[in-house]
Amino acid sequence: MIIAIASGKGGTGKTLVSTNLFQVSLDDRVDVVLVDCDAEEPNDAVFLPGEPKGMQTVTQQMPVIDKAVCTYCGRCHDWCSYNAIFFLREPRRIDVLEDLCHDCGACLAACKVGAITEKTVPIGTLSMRYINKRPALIEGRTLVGTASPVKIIKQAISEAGKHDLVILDAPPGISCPFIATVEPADYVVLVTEPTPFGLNDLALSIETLEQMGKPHGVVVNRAGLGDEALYRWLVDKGVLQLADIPFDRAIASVYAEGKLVVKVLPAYKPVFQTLLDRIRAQAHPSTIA
Amino acid sequence: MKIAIPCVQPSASALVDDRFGRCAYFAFYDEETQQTTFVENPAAQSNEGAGPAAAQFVVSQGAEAVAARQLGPKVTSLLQSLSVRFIELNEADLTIDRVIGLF
Repeated sequence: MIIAIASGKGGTGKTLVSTNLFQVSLDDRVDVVLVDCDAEEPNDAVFLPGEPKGMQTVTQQMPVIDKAVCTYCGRCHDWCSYNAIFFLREPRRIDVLEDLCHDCGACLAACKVGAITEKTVPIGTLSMRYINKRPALIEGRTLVGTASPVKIIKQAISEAGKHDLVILDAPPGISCPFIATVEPADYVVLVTEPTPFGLNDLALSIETLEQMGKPHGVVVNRAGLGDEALYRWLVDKGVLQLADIPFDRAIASVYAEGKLVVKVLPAYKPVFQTLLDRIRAQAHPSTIA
Repeated sequence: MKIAIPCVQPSASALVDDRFGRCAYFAFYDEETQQTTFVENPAAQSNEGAGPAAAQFVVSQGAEAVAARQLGPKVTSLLQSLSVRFIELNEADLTIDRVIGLF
């Protein structure tokens, strides 16, 4: 079972929910792996013990144009959906704009004279952390200057392999990195907060997930803050509310110290245990007695 | 010299578009003939890379200078490498008429 923990707005508590869900699963002796898919600023590792092992480099292919062979026909430029090939017939000019390249290979297929080859460019890393010699956390990390983390995210998820439970800590927003993370998930947990910002971005996330046909539910973090508009909206839309995490300074302090709420504040452990049970029931409705 | 100016409507009274890559139209002013033509920006709806695509378009139309509010880093370096001059418009809400009057 693959669960993605996502949110439209940043800073609503994806990492709080992901890492604490991971811990209660581990305590429950579930075969669980956490994947930090927020590859542009991964931080799940802060909350878990262990040093990274087995660092791998993630690469992408980048076209290289041999200007001596190029006939300046413009086919590679026409085939590129990302404006990654700058092309002028007069004055003669052809260049790969590496920031815009999505590594799709269309330009290679388009070229009839073999002027385009590919080079391998490092774009990020994957690292694995173990707890009690079992794989626990896979972290995708984008190299500075890399335009898109999508390939790193996909590779991190595939590295996780099959487990009873794989938790994906998604990047914020609803653009390509979010899509790449929720795409393989059986169920998506959206973490939000009861503020106008939280509601606005939650609505965008749900609109996207509905288009993708992804089952989803909502965790309201910092409950007690803000107003009632979010709750009214959830009822109106018929969106399942999975859990409330109260707005409590103690939670913020524990989180800011890089510790797990379920370990330091045992009173909150049932909140995450119940959340895990509800997610399991939602993701596998057939198993509900 | 032919100058490309991003604008919001295809008319001399139209305002300069604050954006370069995603402007609605380009005005091309030819200093020699003193004629202005308006062409829709084919890069305006690009998912990505609208700036470089628009730069490519204006250069392919023969522009030797771009008069605009501001340019992004990719466009700036592309235009520099093609020896296309950038004329920075410091004033907001200029019309195409006013910009052409500067030449």
